[in-house]
Amino acid sequence: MCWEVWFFCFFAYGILIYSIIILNTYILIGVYSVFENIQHMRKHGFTDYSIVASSTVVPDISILAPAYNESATIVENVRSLFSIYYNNLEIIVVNDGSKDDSLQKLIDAYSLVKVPYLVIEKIATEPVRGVYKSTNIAYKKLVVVDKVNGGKADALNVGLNIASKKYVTCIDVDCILEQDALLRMVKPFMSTADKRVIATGGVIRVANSCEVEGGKITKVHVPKNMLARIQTVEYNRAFLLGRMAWSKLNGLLIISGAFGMFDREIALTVGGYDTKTVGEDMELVVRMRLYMEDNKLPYAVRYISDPLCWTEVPSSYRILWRQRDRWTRGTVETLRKHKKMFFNRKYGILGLLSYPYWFFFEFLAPIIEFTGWVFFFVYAMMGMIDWYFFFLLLIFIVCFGYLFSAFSILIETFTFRQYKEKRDIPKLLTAVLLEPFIFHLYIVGAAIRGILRVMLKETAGWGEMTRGGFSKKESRKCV
Amino acid sequence: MLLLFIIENNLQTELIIFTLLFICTVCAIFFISYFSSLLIQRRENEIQKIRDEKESLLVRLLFEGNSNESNDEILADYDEFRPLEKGNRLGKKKRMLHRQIMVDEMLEMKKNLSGAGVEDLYKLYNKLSLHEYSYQKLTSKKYQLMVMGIRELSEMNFKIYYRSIYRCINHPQEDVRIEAQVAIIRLFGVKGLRFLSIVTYTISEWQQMTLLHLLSHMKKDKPRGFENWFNSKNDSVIIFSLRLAEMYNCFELSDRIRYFLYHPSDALKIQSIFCMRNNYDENTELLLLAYYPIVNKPVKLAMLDVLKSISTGLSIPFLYKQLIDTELEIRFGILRILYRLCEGTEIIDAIENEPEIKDSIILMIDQIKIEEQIYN
Repeated sequence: MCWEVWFFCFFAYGILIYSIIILNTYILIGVYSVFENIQHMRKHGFTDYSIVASSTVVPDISILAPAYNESATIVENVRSLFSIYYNNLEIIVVNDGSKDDSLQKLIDAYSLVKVPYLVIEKIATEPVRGVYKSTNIAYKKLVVVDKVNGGKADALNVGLNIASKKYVTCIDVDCILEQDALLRMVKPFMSTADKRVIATGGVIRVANSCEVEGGKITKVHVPKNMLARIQTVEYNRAFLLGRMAWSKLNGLLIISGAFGMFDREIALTVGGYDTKTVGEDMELVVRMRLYMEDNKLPYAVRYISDPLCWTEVPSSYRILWRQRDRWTRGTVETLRKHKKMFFNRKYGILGLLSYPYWFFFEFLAPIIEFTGWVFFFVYAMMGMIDWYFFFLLLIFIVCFGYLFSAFSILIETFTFRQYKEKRDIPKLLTAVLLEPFIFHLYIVGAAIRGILRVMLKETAGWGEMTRGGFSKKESRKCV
Repeated sequence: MLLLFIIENNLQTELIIFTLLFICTVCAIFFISYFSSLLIQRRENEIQKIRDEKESLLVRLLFEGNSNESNDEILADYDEFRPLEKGNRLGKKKRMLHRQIMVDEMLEMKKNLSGAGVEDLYKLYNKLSLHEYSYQKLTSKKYQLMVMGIRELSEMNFKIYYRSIYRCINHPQEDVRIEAQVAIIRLFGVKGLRFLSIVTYTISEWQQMTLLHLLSHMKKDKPRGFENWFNSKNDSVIIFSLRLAEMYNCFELSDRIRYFLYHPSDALKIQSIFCMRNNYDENTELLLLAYYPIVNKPVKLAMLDVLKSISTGLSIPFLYKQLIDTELEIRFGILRILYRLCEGTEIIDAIENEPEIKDSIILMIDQIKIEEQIYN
């Protein structure tokens, strides 16, 4: 056998075997999530949150909302945080050295005054310029911190230093929370007796084209923009199938930075957010889990499958590119930092399943796909492609993708049913059909760019974000 | 594996069939997604229609005062009740649906009613024999139905089946036992707390919070049975009892509460300290100060929190000595007490000989001062 044929066979069969494993993994995730969804539906409505909504005996929570150049929306966004059903709340808005008039707008709107405040620096951060509190008793819960710019992770660390409550909720300031979101998020911390719950995450839903009134989603629509619509399908797949299954296995490695709740004591013990990565949300969860594993403490990371947080996804290719580039960089940096977990039996599910899954199917997948395309073109030019077989295989793979996405829509229809209009499901199914051709290739490109940037050690942070009204926002979610 | 087999054996026709089958499956899932969404929508509309019907019926009944009539009279007056009757022309499934919606509507309406309105609702529930339907659920083998049955019977104040509910207090299914505990409190108030003597599973923090919240809206009779509960082998029962003692100001239990300061569990220590906030005497402050040096940080913070409320000034010299504690959180806690007991300037004078902590203490005092000025 000549070396070209040997190489061809090795490569082609290698990719084939990889594809078969990844497809089987998706099937397992799909099946596993069905059981979890059935369980969820059975229990749906068991807890009457209205009983405790007005309770004063609920545990104390600090909300940390970092803000950078959010002048257009900051006042309204903070107002919407005040409308959340929860009694023992402290809202900490960290102005991360905004260049616009965000701080002044907050001062004017909430009658803030600079107060003497000793910040106990449990985590080292950029200097705090001042702490502001309201003179109006109605805004007693609000603390605004002004600091030197240091990035999102640094702003969150300042929030962790200042927070005085047992649990901290980290949110993107322009997300829209359901009114009982905090009650649902705090429940696992309080109802798990045999383990210490260290973090809970909620489902992030796409808010594009939805009707928003007074900081609340009043009507859910499928996004009009096709790019946002495809992302709706993608989020559905990730949150209703993927995370649901990983949560059941207690193998979740990420809690979305847009909305997550943490045990403050553990978050501080492990040193807070890592300011050197753009994937600070995933990195913190992994580090907290490692701490618990290393100290052999029984723990859990829980996931709430109800729609709790709504966010606007990028509706332009430029912002989407930047977002996916950043997500990939975050993933690579986190995986690299915690490589000791790789197939390490000491870490149980985490080391034997979660980490390898992320390594092979989140980090390697775009590289393998990209390499596959390169080789495909080379082989095509050399006339080594069996076109008949190629097209059959292509149809098979594309159909599998359709099947998985359509299945997630089916699950959504039977469980949460957020999209109720007659045309919503056909619209989403159309997006499913288009996804492999207009979306998938693009995000593979963005992921490759992200990986290259990490390899070339290019320094790049979050990048400048322009926000105007409830739009053009980004938050980290791994899909 | 199938794919590998196909490639190795050059089974291209089989591959075509396989791919076609796959495409058909995808199409089927697409159609199922679409049609199931239509079907679910239709069902939701149907349920909404019945719901509206039942709601307006309940409003008419409750506000027209007909709930004192006999069953037959009510059924004769309102055709809308017919679907609830046994042996009507509707199938069993449909009849169950009508009953469930009726019960759901009653529970929903109860939230917005009080006094005589609620009593009328209870009577109606009884007259329509809906309790039998709820009881059926309570005796079901499916835990989710049991939870529903328990909730309905307790919300509708139906005490006849309390034995069956009480038996669920130690049910292996967590949701069932949680609902049973809530139901017993709903039905019997403080007296229902006797379940604490038999409960073997841990009562979670969430469950404790729910029960305390329910109790806080009931009559203020003091619970009985603390002696039993304090001796429980279940730590969560002791913690909950301490919370009850705090809520009901059980001063007579002061000595017993203090005993938990020596308990090895930090959670119990902390809860007993919080309990002392409402149940203290002239010795409590000294007792806390005596134990302060030998406890860990979370317990110290709890002690400082309570001392802030109960300190009479006896602790001032002791607290000045503790100010040099390197833990800023603890220092802050101490300063809050001192600020309440002395003037800010007095504190600064007292730490004149501690230059390394002076600046931070001045800043902390300013912070406390501003907070007091703005919000108190």
